[in-house]
Order: sequence, then C-alpha cells, then structure tokens
Amino acid sequence: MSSDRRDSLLDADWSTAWDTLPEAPALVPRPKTAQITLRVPASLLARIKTVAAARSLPYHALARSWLVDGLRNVREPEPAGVASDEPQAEQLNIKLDQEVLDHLKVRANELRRPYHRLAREWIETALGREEESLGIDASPRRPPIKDLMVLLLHTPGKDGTAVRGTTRLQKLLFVIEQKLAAESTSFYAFNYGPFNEEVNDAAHALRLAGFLSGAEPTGAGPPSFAEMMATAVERSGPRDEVDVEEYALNERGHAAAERLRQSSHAYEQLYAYVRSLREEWDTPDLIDRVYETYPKYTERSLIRHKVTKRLDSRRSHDL
Amino acid sequence: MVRIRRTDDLTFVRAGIMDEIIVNANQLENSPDSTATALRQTTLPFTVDPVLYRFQLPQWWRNEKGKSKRNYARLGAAYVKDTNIQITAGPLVETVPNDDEWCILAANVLGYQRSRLLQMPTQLDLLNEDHGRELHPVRLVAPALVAVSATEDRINRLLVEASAGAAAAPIAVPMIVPLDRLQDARERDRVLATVPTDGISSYFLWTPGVTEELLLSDREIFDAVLCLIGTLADRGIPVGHLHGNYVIAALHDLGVSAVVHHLGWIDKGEPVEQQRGGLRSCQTYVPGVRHCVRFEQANSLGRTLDADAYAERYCECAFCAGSFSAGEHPLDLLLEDQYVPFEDGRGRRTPTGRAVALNTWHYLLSRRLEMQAFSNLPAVDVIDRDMERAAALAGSRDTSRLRRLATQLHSA
Repeated sequence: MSSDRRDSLLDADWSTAWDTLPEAPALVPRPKTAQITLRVPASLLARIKTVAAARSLPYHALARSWLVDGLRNVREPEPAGVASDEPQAEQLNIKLDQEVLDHLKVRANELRRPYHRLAREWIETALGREEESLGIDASPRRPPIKDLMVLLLHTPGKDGTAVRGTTRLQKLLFVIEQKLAAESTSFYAFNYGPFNEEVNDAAHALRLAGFLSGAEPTGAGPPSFAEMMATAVERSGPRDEVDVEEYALNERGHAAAERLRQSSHAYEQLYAYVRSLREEWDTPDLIDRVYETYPKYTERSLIRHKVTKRLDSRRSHDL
Repeated sequence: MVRIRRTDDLTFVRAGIMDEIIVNANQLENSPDSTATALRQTTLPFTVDPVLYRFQLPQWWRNEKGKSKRNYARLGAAYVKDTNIQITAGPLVETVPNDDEWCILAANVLGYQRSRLLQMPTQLDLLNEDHGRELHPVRLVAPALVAVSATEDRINRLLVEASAGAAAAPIAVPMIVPLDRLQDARERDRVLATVPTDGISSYFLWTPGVTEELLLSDREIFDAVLCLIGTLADRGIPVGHLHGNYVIAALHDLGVSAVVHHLGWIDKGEPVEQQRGGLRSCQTYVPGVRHCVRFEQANSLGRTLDADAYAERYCECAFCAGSFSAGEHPLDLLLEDQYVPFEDGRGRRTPTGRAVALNTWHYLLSRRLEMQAFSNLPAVDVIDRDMERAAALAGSRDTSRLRRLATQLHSA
C-alpha cells in the first residue's frame, strides 16, 4: 500500500461505517457450553476425518465451522442424492456456543426440519464442497478387498469356510471383483493369472489383527517368550515341505465378519452375493474356469500352456 | 527407533522393545493395509520416511528387470500430483523442470505423510471394537536427496524450506552424505552450510556405505562423522542417525540423541538403493562381541555355556533367557539352518524361516539393551564393560575392536 493511500484511509471519517460493522468476536474465546450429538454413518465420519487431515485441522472443529457457516449463509443444504441405507452407527459430538445452538433450532424450525438433521445436512453439503476442492474422490467404489475377503471367508464352502492356498484366494476374490465392478478392478495379469497384491496385504492385515486361524492380536507390551516362539512356529523349519497356506477366520474373525454383514442392508446383500459366487466358483477346476473366462488376465501366465492343454483335453473328451 | 522396510517386519512391531517406528514410504505403498493394522495395534509413535532419494537414480528404485515396481509407481504418482514431473522417467534432478515444481513436490510429500494412513480404514475396521487410534505421524520429515554435489545441496535446501512452509510446524531434516564428500573437509562444510536451521525440529544424518567396520578401522571417516554430528548438535537441534549401529549409539555423549535401525543384523553400511531379496546368510548377532558372526563361530562361542554363563558373556536378552527357562539352549533355535539346492546343481546353507524370526527378536531385544545402556551411562563406561565381556567370551580379537572405539571416543 502506498503511503498516500494509507494517509487517505487514516484521514477518512469512518464513524458511519463503524456502526454497520458486525460485532467483533471476544478476544478470549468463550467456553462452548452447549453440545450437539449427531448420529452419522461410519463412512461419513471417515470422509470428514480425511478432509480434516488434508486441511490439518481437528475434525470436530472443522465440522463446527461448517455448521456455523451453514447458519451464517442462511441457505438450505443441498438435497442429498440417493438416500444411503448405511446405518448411522457413529456419533459426532460438536461443542457449540449456546447462542449457535439456539440459532440452529430457530433456523430448523423455519425450515420445518429437525435441527439434528439440518446440522447433518449442512455438514454433508460442506463436506462435498471441500472434497471437490481438495480433489478427494468420495464416490462409492467397490468394497475394499479386505472386506470382501472377510465376507468370503465367512461364507460356507464345500469343505467348511476355509480357502486353501493363496492362488485359490486370489482367484476367488478376482471373480468376485469382476462380478461386482470389473471396470475398476485392481487385478492384473501376472505369473499365475490374475493377481492383486492387495489380496496378500489384506490377508496379512487380517492376520495381524488376529482374525485368522492361528493368529492372535498383538499384545500391548514387550513380547513374552511364548509370543516370540509363536511367530516362529508359523514359519518353515529345515525338513518341512512348503505347506499350502490355509485361510480361515477364527472366532474373532467370524464375529467381525458377522458385524460387517449386519452393518447395513447393502452389506447383507453383498454377503449373499459373495456366498452365491463362492457356491458357483469354488470348485476344483476354479483355475481352469478363470483362465477360460478371463483370458486377458492370463497373458503373462507361466502356466497358460499347461492350463490350455488341460482345457483342450477336457473339451475333446466332452465331445 | 526401528525402521520398517518390508511387510514381514510388521510382525515384530511391539511396544516395550522400541520407542518409535519409522516406516519407509515404499513399504507403506507396498502393504498399506497391514502397515496401518500393525500401527493401530500399538501405542508406539510413528514417522513415515518419504525415501524421495530412491527416485534420484533409476537403478535405486527399479527392479532387476529395469522396471518400476508398482509400489514405487504409486508412491511417485502421489508425490508429483499437480505437477508436470515424470518421476519414474529418469534421474529426479533431470525430471523436475523448475524450483516451483520442487516446492509442490515437497508439499505433496508432506501431505502424503500426513494423510496416507488416514485413508486406510474400511467398514470392517470402523466396526471393529479394537479399531484403535487414528494414525497421525509424530513428526513430518522433509524429503531429501543424497547430497552428491552442489546441485543436490541447493535442491535439498529448497525442499527443506518448502517443507517447513507446508508443514506449518518444525520438521525433521535428513542429511544424506555420500562417502566421497564425507571424507573431504571442504565438501563437508559445503553440505553443512546448505542445511538450514529455521523451522527444524531435528536432523537425521546418514552416510550410505559407511559400515561399522569402516568407522572403526578408518580414523578419518570416524572423525568426519563426528564432525558432522558435532556441528549439527552445536546448533542446539537434536541429531539422530537414520541407520545407526553400536558405534553410532556410542556417540550418544557426543551429540547423537536418536538412533534408527532396521531389523537386519548384518551390517552392509546401508546402501541407498532398494535391497533385493535372496537367500539369507547364516549369521547371527552376538551381543557379547557387539557384532554378527557366522553360525559356526557363534556355536563355538556360546553353545557350551550354561544359562548363567551365557547371560553373563553371550547375551542377556529376554528371548535367550526365556529359551533357557523353557529347557532349550537358545543357540539350538537361533542357529537352525538348511541346505538349499540350486537349479545348476550347486547350493548353499541358509537359516530356516523360524530361525530368521527368532534371530530378529534376539537382535531387537539386544539392540534395545545397548541403546538403554548408552542412554543411562557414559559411553566409555559401557564400552569398558563390553570389552571385559568380549574378552571373556572371545578373547583379544573382539576386545581390540572395542578398544579402538574407546580410544577414538576418548580422543574425540
């Protein structure tokens, strides 16, 4: 700013403008004496936390600012899209000034809506805007591989719920993903057909969480001798043949899978669909069928010729 | 502080045997879900090492076939968001077109450390009663290149300043000095002169290729490392070491306030490039002499010792003590190996999978005791005690090794 401009501003008579200015906030923030508790879906809370992390702000404070912004702008929240059937399983507690809460109630009354719903809708609207400005994709995607894996291992197969071998686990999850969202698949052609490293990562995560047979959740303190030995037992010794790994949920894992299944109607449906796919595909000739149905994913396979030969022989036999 | 370099390392993440975890960003991209799960299950603070230096030369991140691994491709994509940088196209200094893009890159690297693990929870995680904490790193680390020349020095300074601005809080700054510049006093000064002090919470030094043996046998290199540590510590900012060992821990009294080490006990001087897999060598860490030795030698040093003598001379870690209590000699477990035949008819011996796991615990616990000793006592006292112990276990060879260290510390 030039010194002339600064002088002219200092010399001006501001008394009229002064009266029109909004009241300044208190120099020392007043303690927030009221609170609003919103029930929100888990996915919504996760989205708020993601945006808060990207903005380096506490998520409660961010949600409060959106709510206050909604009140200040005197606009109705944007209508929600397709109503989600996800249960409002999480709680979002926002501390407020009593005045703000009173103001919210008045505004909700004017709009003839419950004030909790109005607050939630304002937060959702602001969240959508923030996600857009930050380039965060919040559109519904395929369920994560880990969730699909837990549902798969919770469904009954022909010989119990376990899946024997990493290749079979990979192929079953590949088929499920192809049926659910082939366009956004994360599988690619690799040495033994379709492969996705997320599958191995998810299996390892379930083991670390203590959801798979033989696994215990990690203890809080230093490991005991028995715990250290347990990490060795699952590895090979000198004379062991390489075992085919078996993937099965333990009691904790099944309980977690059941919680997931019951968490929403969508997950109930997903479980039923995964179960039907397992019934259809978890057969001894799974590998051959995958190679036959999805040839694009077998281009780099080291065993393609072997499988093709087997398929040809079966076809000629059928004829 | 323990560095997580591969998925298998996550099994060993436990409070009480480490103070903090530092996760390599390439590992985080390799197995984000299991890394997040392991971190959520502990109360340990963690940091993400952005490992930007891996992108400095293609041979440092590409696999043996010359291709970019998927985890590096994903990591690179996150780092160059909203820029024109083709990070996997070639050497990094040639692919970043201007200073503005370096600054965006630095901000992206910080954003990655802040938010990568927050994106992880799935519906299953959120419904889990033991879901645990949100994963916020305890500190943000500025991206850094290996300080090969003045070009990298200038970029490193730019990256630190841009990171400090983007972090809006003090940041940790790695300083990666290659051997040729470490040995040259003028070059050392040049590197130090480009490392800023404002907005910095800690320095983390790393001298790739400098093994423990080299530090002990080459007085010039030892003094050069000491000079870097001393100069940085004199600025009043804590100094850590990104790939420390016993000798580095012994520099506690001279300015090293934090030591990061990984779970591998064979000292390779920590090269910059991504380490390839392969058969493990039959070596084990022997705390009694403070370095690792081949299985046969370890066997001859400790197999005949009973529980008390073993604890006194060879190792007093909780794994070895537990093994004796369970009625087994720890070396029967630690030194288990097998013969692996190759396709060409040759073959070699390698530790079994379970011996590797148990050696990892033994090494972690032993390192923990070493770090505690150097934190609690003057380094020369610790080394004196260790010399006596080494003499009782192995005689003069290992004593002279430790004596060299004591002499160097006395004269430092």
